[in-house]
Amino acid sequence: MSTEEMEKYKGTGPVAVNELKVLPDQVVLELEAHRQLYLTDPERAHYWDPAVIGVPGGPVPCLLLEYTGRKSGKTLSMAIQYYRFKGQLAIVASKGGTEGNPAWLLNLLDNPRCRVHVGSQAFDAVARVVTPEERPEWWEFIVREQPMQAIYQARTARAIPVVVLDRVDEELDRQLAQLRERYPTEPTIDQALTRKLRNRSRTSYAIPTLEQVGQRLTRFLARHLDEPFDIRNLRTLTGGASKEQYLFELDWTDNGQRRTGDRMVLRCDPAASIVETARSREFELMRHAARLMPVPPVYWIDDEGEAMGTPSLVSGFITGVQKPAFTASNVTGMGIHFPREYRDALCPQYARYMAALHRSELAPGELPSFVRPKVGTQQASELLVNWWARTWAEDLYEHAPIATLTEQWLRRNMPVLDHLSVVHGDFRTGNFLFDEKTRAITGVLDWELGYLGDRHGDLGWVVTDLYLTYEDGHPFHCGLFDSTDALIEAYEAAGGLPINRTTLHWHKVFCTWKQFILSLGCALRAGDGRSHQDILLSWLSAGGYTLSEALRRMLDQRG
Amino acid sequence: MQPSFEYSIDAMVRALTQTVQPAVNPEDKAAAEQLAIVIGSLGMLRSQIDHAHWFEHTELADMAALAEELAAALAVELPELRSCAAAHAAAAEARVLAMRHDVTLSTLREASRGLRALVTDLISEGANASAALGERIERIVLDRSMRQIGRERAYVAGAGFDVFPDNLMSIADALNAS
Repeated sequence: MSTEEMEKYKGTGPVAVNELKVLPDQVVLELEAHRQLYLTDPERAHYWDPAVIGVPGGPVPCLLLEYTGRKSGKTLSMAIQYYRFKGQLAIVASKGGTEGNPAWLLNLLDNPRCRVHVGSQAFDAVARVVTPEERPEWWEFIVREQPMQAIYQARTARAIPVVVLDRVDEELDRQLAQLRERYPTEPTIDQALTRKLRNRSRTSYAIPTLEQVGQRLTRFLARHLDEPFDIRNLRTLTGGASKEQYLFELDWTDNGQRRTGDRMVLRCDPAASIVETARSREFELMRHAARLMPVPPVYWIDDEGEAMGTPSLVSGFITGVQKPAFTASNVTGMGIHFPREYRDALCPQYARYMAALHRSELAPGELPSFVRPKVGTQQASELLVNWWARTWAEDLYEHAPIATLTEQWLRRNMPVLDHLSVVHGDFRTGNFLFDEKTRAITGVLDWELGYLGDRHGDLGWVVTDLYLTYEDGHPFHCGLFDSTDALIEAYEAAGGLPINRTTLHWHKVFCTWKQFILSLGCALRAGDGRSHQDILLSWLSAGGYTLSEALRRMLDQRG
Repeated sequence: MQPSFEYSIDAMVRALTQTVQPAVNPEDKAAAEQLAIVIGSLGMLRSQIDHAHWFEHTELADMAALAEELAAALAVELPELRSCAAAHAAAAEARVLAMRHDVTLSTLREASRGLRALVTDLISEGANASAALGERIERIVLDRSMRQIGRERAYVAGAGFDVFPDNLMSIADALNAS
């Protein structure tokens, strides 16, 4: 094929409708090379730069599709760019805008069952062409993602088909149906846990390079920012066990005002995380809490991972420290003990912010990703127990008699909700930053475990034995409060709602059980080759046995 | 046979501490943190390795005894329960396995895992039966859990998460107490 014809294919020369009959040989060769790469190195082939076939714009997400030849009956495959939109996965049968649909589509129309490889994750699917009613919305999204598709459409009379690949996994679907029936919980929690199980088929995990993250981040921000922007100095950010985090400077235009060098944090889900929740929950909670206390401002969310390849959000960076410079701690900020002078400054602030959160009112329609349990019922308790019982059932490597007993105790003794509160869910040392000089809290972090329900949940978390520290042999809760009474006193003095000791005990047992599940279920599952810090998760799991002892002691006392 | 596990692990720890750790860029906090955890994990493995077989044998024997005790308690009210028969059979097999020296650690662990699943079923059956039976089942599990959890805590004490110094034992003492 001549250079002139290649230029026509690339869209840089005039093309009449249906003038291009077939793909140029050069394009066919490059596509075949990409397919071969996918067969040998799927993680590298996942994000592929189509500049080699004349498509500008940088690397795009691609899948490998296996389908059945309608004449040969053989398994054939091809690699192609995919699009994620409204939770669905689709490919486009453009064939460069040449005349006639591609052969792979004809094969799929004959037999829609196929196998999809997205990076190293593989699953069975059924292909279907979107209906004429669905197509306009899909097409608008697709041409925004890949402008060349509009050029391809202009050069052919056929309406280029959009093909959705609906995932099929009959055994997993059966398992999910059983789990949902046994452990009904919030829809967004169900979505997150379901995504986790579907991702479990991923056989290997490659930590993305900074270059790859930068490319995806550019695509992500381009969806939200109409004005030019510049991402500078992207680097990894340590701290925390559940997310891949990156720090960068952003030059951008915010409501007409040009801003330079804004420090931003990108939080991404790894292939598997110790905490599997929806980014939308975190995003909405942070927006709500920002009215009440210092919280990193949240800007943009990619809830389905359409641009980033994994659920992600971007927030502002907050300065501050987790602990005094001279103090030691275990991983993720656990085990931090504050000396007296720090406690005197931090405890009142800590109590004030917690109390304000629990008293805060919700506007109608606010926090749409959350279920609002009914006051006067046990619904709040039941949703929580079901969430974590389901997580344990999905993640455990081996059963633990003490965990089974605890679940039974929790269900027998569920408290009735007296006031609906916003609950942080992990409000401990390590999850707030403060200014070393002024000792003012500068930011409350890690809202991903938050929920709507009983305020006792936050206090119960603080008083669990895992967060005990010691000073001269005397125990402290979270390195801050020298007794449960001291915590309750500070909380109520700060305007907190009244605390019921029986309810508080239930939540202490519940929180300890949840910590146990996080340690010996979630951490081990996520650390099994699917995260960026498997060794940290493996280390954390050891805490599960201290938690077993804590549960045994509590159950043995109360019966 | 040489080198022993202890010898090898000690050599690994020295290499990581003396050669690798100083070479890690201090700006790369993730690498520094993970290296420190690797060194700590090797130290913990070193403390465990001498007792690994004893640990798994004891675990298996104890889990078999728990399964049998639960099955016997349930059989008083629910003599036809299939999970009781399954528990007795699995426990008998486990006891034979636990007495053998020519089995791998993974075989012992797999058998323990199977018994744990059966024990979970038995506990659930107890909860669905009479209140008195439920309480009896709970009591059996709590009493046996003390030894089991004591062993597990001793085994991972090297991670530094334990907050109950009053009854934290060494691995050998915890296994002897079993």
